[in-house]
Amino acid sequence: MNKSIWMLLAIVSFLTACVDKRDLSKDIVVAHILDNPDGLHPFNDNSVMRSFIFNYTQKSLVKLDLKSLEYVPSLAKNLAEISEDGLSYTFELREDAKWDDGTAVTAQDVLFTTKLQLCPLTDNAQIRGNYTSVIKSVKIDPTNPRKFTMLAWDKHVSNATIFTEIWIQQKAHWDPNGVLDDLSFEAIHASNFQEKESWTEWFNAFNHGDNRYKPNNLVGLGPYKVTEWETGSYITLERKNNWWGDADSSIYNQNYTEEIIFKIIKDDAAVFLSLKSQELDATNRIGTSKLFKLQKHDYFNDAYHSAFMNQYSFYYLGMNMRPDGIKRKAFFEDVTVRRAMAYLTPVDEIVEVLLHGEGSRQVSNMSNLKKNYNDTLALIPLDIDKGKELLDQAGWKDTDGDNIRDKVVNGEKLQMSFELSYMSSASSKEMALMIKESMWRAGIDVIPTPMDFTLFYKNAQEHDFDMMLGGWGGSASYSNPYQLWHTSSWANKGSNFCGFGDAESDSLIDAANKAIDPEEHRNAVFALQAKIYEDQPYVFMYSPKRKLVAHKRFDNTQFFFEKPGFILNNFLLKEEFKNMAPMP
Amino acid sequence: MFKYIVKRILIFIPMLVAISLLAFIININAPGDPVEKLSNTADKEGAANDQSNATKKVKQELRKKLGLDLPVFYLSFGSMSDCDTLYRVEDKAHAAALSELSHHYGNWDNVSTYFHQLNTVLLAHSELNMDVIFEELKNEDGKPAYSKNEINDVITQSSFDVSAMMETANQGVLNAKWSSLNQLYDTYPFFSKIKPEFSKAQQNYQSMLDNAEGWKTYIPTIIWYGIGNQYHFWLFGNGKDRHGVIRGDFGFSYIDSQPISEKIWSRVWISFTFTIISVLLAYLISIPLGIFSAYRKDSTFDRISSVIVFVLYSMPSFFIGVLLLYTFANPDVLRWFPVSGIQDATLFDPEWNNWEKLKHRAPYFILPLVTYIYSSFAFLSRIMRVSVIDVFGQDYIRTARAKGLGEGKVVMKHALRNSLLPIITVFANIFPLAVGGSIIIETIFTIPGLGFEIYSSILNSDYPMIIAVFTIIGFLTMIGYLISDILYAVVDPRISYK
Repeated sequence: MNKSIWMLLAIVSFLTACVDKRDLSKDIVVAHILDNPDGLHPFNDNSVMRSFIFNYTQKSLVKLDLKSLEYVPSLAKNLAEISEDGLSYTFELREDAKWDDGTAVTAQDVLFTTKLQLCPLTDNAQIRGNYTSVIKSVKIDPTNPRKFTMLAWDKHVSNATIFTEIWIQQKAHWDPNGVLDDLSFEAIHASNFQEKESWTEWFNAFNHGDNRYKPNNLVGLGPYKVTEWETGSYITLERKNNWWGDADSSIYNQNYTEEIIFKIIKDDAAVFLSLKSQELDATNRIGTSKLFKLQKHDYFNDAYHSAFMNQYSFYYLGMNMRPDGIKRKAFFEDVTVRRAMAYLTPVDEIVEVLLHGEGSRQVSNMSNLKKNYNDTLALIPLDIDKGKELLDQAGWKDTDGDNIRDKVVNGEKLQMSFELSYMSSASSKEMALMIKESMWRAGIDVIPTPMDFTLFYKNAQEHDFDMMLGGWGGSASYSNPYQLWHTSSWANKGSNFCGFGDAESDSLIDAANKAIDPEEHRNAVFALQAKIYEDQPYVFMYSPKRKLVAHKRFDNTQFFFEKPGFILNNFLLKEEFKNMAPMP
Repeated sequence: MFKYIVKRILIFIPMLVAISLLAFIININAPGDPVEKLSNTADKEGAANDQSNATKKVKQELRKKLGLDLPVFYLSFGSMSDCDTLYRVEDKAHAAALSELSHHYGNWDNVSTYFHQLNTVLLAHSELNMDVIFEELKNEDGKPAYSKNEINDVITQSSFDVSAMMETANQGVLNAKWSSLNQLYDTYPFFSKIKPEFSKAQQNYQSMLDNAEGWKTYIPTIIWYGIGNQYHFWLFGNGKDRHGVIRGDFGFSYIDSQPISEKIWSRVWISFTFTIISVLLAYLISIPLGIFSAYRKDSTFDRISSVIVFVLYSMPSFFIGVLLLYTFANPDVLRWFPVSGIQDATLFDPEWNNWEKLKHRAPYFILPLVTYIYSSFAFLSRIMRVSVIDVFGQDYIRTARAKGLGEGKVVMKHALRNSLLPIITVFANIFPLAVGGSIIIETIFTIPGLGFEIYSSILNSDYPMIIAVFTIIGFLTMIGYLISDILYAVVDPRISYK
């Protein structure tokens, strides 16, 4: 017996020695991401994770300041000088900006990058239209190699900031032989683009998968470079030696930490445990209930800063306002009915139950964090009686005593029984059931209909739904309402799923987009919000909070509303940690 | 024996063809258009203005690259009403509508005329210029008759409806659209250019209905396409850049355009290592345990081990995985093992030799391995126990004992070998497991193996990846069965394959 006890002790001590304790004195930030980015090609991919990592490896001309939520110059010396007609935008590049080989960044590089962003041969069809519809061409100032002008097609409020997500690339690196020199903006914009064989060859190489994954090919102007990519495990960024911005004081140009490691963890329980054992320094992706649990422990609060921060995304119930009448019946053509749905949706309860109260109510299509938020619109409370009253008004009454309201529409008796489609997940199922229960009390039969993303999205675009549970991401920058609210986004199977809009709302969208004067822009945006609120294509529900955690061994770990919520290159290891022995 | 193996391998060929056909059928029927997915235009804002010729060209090239411009199979069974060149229609929805229409009305020529006429109507919309209409159409007082937005609104409504008509064969929907569009065209005079074309389309539609030749759908035909088809292309490649499934080329991932085979090879070793180690461990532990339980049947040990094993077996692996994490990777309880991944990014050095790598990775492997094996462990030891008990009841065991053989010899020599047969049957499933890994376990522990990759592929509808894994698993299952058949003969000399 004694023998086995000793044996057991020996095994235990061996196992305890298994875990390599993390050395917290190392100046390395380990940040959590949920999944591999689709790639880190400067143009071809479009994931949130990619933008997160590009904050540290790439640079653009201007960027959105997380503190002030205003645009600030980054590679450019100043924000664009705008011509009177609002069609030319002149920038000058910083003198100190240098490529890794020591040569200066010039307007030629910007010209080259812009061509790539617009060219139909670049594998970026998903976002290309956002740029081709704005940028007409780029002209270099003949007297100053660092100065250039972007010519826009039309007056548009986002012209001045169109370069925010165009990551400037080095012409001498990608195209040393000048293959694309004769590719003109006229050719790029031509409706029948005529490609040359040399271009096709060049683009085939450029679009190649190696430029998405191979660390050596992932070059950029940022303070860090990708040195290792273990697919499915982590991506390591290392600080560049003698980087051009070393002397700069901007928080975006700091490079305190030696390495930033983006560690992939999919499972929420594993994130939770990683934080407990201090294996992560920063995350913006942990479950609400897990963070609540962690915050109850002193050792967690001693080691980490954590917060629930408001953000710009929101969830909604969309209603089909323009059904075809054959496959989908006319339940929601009447605005009174749509308003009744808003009174019948138990949003507060959903936030309380599913988010432990960590969500804020959404009133209209714009987050109340934005400065152009229309604060005159009142929140619609849960009020079953009011909902019933509105339904009565709209002619939906229970005439046959089956507890379900009905109405004769176009000569056909319709029961108020419709599908609520949602992407299947545990929380959306819960939400759908809560909505069903609440609406049942007003004589409405909601049929929760789960489906997978592809089908859900296809049905939404083809207007093949009654009511849908959806969500939109968002950011602090101006989001063009065209995509979600313009009537042509309904007709072209864009993202105006519900069929909102008329001539008035379309003209408000145009006005908001074209107004360069802030006051004019604000008025149009205000009016559009009011119009959407009145018309109620959506029941706006809530905006979930972002969960942010950062280790206390670093200074400068402020949290921000805007994604990703923190600035990792600015994390500065505290003196007392530098000489600390590995934790027990 | 050799003959048998050769025969079995020959039988593989038709089975492989069947597997590949099944995989291929699933692949081409998967929802969504791969071209749209690869060209990433699916949720582009204001899609219409991006449908420039260049984008169309990109899509055409993609179709060609994926072989989608070819007929589906070597031949097609159909009826006289079917069209033999339907595969040339680029739009998946259009092709479906056309096929249904021809099935209904039997007369392909009429269907085709009607469809082309609808397309003419759709194209005619581009001639409607909002600004020109706005300038030209004035009321008597000289003011514009319609606002620009109204003009824009009805034009988009009309073009949406016409394009919707091209995607449906439903008579109810079509009738509703005919009447609503006619009404629209009567209300707005600027549709005068479109109206005659539209009426012509409606006439074509009517004549398609009137001249329906339903009988044609009852006359079967076979259309032969030759080797220029999608299946042949998928299986054998095109002799240039694509090599075909038969040479291990499964095409490109829809998510990141990486070659599927590269993705699989870079991941498969991790899942494979896990499975091999876990299978070895499971067999090493469960066979002696099963024998011992059977030998001491109904003893306290047997009962306790039965309870434990059944409790373990009834618990799902995602639960056990998380439970192990919370117990052995949790500073609040025991922190013996790391939480996730297979190496520590801050310490791991790719320059290390294999021993150092193994030493570094070993702790990362333990919890996932336990999660991998515990259920098969329970399962195998139960099977082993039952079959040993069964063998113990046999006459030859009694004879062996009567001969005066020692208990050890009776069990190890006479009982063991004969009770291995059921275990071998289970062994056949190991190979497919090795490739699939365990999706749940790899996700919980963030192990970058094939299971993790499959999970992402399923979430993102990356069909080529799913199909590739499906085909490989099918193939390996066959290999597994062959090996277990051979093992039967090794274990039991009475089984011979002639």
